Amino acid sequence: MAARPPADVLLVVTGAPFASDMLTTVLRLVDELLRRGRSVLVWACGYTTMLTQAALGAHKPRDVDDWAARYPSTAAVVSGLLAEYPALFGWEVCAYCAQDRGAGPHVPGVRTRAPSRIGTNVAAARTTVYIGGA
Amino acid sequence: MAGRYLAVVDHAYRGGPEVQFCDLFYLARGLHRQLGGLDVVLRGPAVTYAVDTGPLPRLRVGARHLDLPDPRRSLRALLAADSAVSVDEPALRALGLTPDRVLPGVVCRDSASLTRDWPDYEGVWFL
Amino acid sequence: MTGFLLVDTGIDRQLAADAAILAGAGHRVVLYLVQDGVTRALRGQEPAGDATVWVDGPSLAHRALRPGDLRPGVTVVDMPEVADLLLADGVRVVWH
Repeated sequence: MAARPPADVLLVVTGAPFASDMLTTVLRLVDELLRRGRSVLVWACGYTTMLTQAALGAHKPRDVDDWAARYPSTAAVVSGLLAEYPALFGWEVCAYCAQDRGAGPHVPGVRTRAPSRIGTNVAAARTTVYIGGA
Repeated sequence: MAGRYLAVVDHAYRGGPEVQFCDLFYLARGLHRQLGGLDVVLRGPAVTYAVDTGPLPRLRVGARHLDLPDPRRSLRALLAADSAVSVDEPALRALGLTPDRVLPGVVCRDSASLTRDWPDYEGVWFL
Repeated sequence: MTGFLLVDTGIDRQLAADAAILAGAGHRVVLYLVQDGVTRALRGQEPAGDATVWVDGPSLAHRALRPGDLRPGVTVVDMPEVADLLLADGVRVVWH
């Protein structure tokens, strides 16, 4: 797999999903940047590492109110972005946080990286945004 | 209220694309069914869950558009299932909002009276 | 002079005070209130000194809050404005 070029924006996301609107805001920002042709790398730390597990499958569990409805999993949402913007978008998972939470394996295209990689990513990014909360 | 449970919600807006349809009140309605009765009190920032509004913005992620949680729709379903939903009125007013903004069927009450109801419930759970 | 984009996502945080201090020291500061942070833009809330205050429109909508509920002087924005500022030269983003 070819090395990814430096990102215009690196988002270090460590806050927990299911706890706030954090993921909504992150995805809105990612979407806006990608539409502008900017490159974005998400570094998923903490419980954010849970979002891209292959075991999540393509869909959320069934809705008992509407058994026919299908809702995409977070893994499918990230996979969709990776497929749509292969040259601009990357999603890397902190290996330590993932192992510490039993999160993995991840969907194709998501890279698991050693925590020591974060400094390299920050150095290579034009702008880094740290979204804490782990 | 004998035999019923009380669910208090004061931490709001927990999750968007990771939650979608499965919000707190979807859970509460499931508990309501299983336990034979569950009422809901909203306080703190969660009072805005009961404030009526129009259609919510969807989340655009690349080519995909997602429906985010719709707590008013979920609350309406809970009310339709005969769960009582109350709002802590001082918390509502602290945000500059008034009781005329809340969904039909939701009752606004003072904080102390809501707490005084606790002994009448089988259990009081913060969701 | 450094530009700051302070992103306040929560309740009872000190970023508004931080914004006022930085703006008072002569820096260009935008305090962007998003998620639960939008409640800081409601009437009766403390302003953030000389900092420019933005409030996120979709976060307001999901909380059933209207522009009329906001105190004067705040500007409702969406992600394009935020991205413009985030990508501008010399702007540091502080997210809480």
